[in-house]
Amino acid sequence: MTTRPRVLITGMGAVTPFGTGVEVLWQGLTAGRDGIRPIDRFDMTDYRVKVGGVVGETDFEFPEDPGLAESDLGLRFCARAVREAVESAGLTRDALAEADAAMVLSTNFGPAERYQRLCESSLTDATTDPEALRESLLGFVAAYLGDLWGLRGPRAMISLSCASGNAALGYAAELLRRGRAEVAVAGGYDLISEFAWSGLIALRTMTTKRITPFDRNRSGTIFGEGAGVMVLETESHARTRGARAAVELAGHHANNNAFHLTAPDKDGASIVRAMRRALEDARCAPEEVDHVNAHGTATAYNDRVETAAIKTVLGTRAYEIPINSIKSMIGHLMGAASIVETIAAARTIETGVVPPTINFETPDPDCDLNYCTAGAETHEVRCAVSNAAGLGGCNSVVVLRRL
Amino acid sequence: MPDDRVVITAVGPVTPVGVGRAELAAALAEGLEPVEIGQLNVEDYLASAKTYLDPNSAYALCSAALALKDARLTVNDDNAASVGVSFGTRLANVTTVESYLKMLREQGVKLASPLLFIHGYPNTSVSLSAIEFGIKGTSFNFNSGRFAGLQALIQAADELGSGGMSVMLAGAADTYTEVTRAAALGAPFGAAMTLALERLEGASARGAQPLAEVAGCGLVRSADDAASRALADAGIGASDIDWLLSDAADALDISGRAHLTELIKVLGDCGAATAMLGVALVALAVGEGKPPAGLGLARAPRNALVVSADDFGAAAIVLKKPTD
Repeated sequence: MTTRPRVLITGMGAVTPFGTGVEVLWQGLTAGRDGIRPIDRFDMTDYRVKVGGVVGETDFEFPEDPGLAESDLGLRFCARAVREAVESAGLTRDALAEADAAMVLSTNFGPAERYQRLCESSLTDATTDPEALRESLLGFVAAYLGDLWGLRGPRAMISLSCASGNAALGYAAELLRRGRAEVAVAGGYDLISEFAWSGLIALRTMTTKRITPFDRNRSGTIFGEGAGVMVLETESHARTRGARAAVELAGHHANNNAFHLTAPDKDGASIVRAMRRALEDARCAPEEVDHVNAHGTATAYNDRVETAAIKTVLGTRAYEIPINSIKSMIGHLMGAASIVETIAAARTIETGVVPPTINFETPDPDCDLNYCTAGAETHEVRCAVSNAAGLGGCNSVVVLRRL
Repeated sequence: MPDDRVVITAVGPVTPVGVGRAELAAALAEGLEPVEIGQLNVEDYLASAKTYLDPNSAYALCSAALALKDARLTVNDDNAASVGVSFGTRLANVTTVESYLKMLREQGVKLASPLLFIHGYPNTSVSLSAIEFGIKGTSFNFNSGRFAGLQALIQAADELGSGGMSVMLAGAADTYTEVTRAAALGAPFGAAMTLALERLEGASARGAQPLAEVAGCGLVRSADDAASRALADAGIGASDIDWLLSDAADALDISGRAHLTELIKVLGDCGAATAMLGVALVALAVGEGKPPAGLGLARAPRNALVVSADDFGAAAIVLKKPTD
């Protein structure tokens, strides 16, 4: 068996519908609060779904770059989460600049709102403003924040639909394992925009009712926005600088259903394979898994197939462990969904508290596991699995282990 | 001790200097003169007709099909989970995004097109590649910048090096619209380039002919640093490089020591596919042992360095003859 560096989580940051910060997120999740609210950022008259996981507080301060306050909202979400993650890791700009530090971000739609404005201006302007175009490119946010924090290591912007956040974590972990970086700032973000909201409604995956994962009467998901970021470090780098860490990113895998761009892969074979490969990568046996933070979108298909996949991979262990979908509280945060859910899983390992799945009323015979529907539960968790999937057949799974 | 060397075994060019390996090899022998590809008839390359494809996805799919054909590789139930795909695109499917926004503007949100919306996702090309060819292994999509193509190649090489996959398709594609043409540093050309990568021992076992070995990789903020790291990773010095290819706007520190081909001047700006086309040129020149025509190289290169960079980041790889 080859040795490879362990990858530790030394910092986390989040901007979610509950507000700014991981602790605010955690308080909301463990209290079982409902973070879904009306969208008031643009004219909602013609939209079938008028509520979402909206980030209410957007008046952030950016001491690292006051000019950020005037930037696009998605960039601000991401910048705020990056700062919290870096500061909670006990790192500074100088420390990051001295290390081999990577910036690995992810998104579904990225600067779509800015690109929309650019296209509208091109209708009246004969030429395209090169700087506006540069800031409309998907890679801009990772580049901007990488430069802002003085990172001289690898840069990446990954987009794998709603599996993006976990894919970014996995890619960042691999950069550390391969010696391409010692530290990685990794995460994902997305913004509720006219572009995203109109399209997501057109795809008919959203409900006009409440989001009710694993409930027999579930009728679809509700999307949201925000950002989640982790600081990952090789164990040697973290130990050398005396960083505190309680959780290891032990394994990951990202794959594709290879079935259809929008239609579900009904047998769930690829999410099974992604979970198995991630557990193998983590050298984690099914019986060591104590918790699954599920993708749990509340679509009829996902929750049934994901439940079956968990049972296939974990066997009888699936019936013994707490499983939750925090989407029931904050919605489906698109490119930020899985990273925020993995942050929640990390907090579960740290605290032993499993946030609930709210809005559950009617059991579904096809969804017969413990989804923590009565409220937060207390469990000792050694290993946790965070599942994610997205349009285009994308899957990404991350396995966390308590140190 | 397992032989974890990674080699390029096939190319799938959909480029302004040739579509398909034979055309690209001919261009390499006769001189590179880029011309717009225009619309491809995808049914000539794919098993079935498509309802709709963004030009970027069409190029990417045809390129992947050509690479698989060149590799003489069939993806089936036995190997699907050990074949992966990693893709890079700087601009992604902007043609479709703009069509969607136009419909939204003119017809309103109630008539928003789900078809256009889904084909505008940045990961559409990699997802369609997995779906079209039944690729169920690792799947990644990078939108980091111009260097996203080489980044995908490095991710693929790392995946093979760690034993995670047996074959990886590493590709890049970009196409332009009137809005995004301003992002081009030279003549903007739509293009895609997919390469098949394998471990040398796996390639040998199935009788595939390695073209070039991916000997070293660098992935960092700046082009010079990426080049230095790729050289260090390969265990060679700058003086060992006899062909340097770069799509970076700025001169590199090692320029002047090796024969330089400025890719955008020679090929036009193919976005993230520019450097991948450079990799393919090296692979063919190394693999076939012939110097490229019109680029000033007197003999086939032994070691080449390909650098891709913009102000978002940089990547570099060292390629060499696989038997060295």
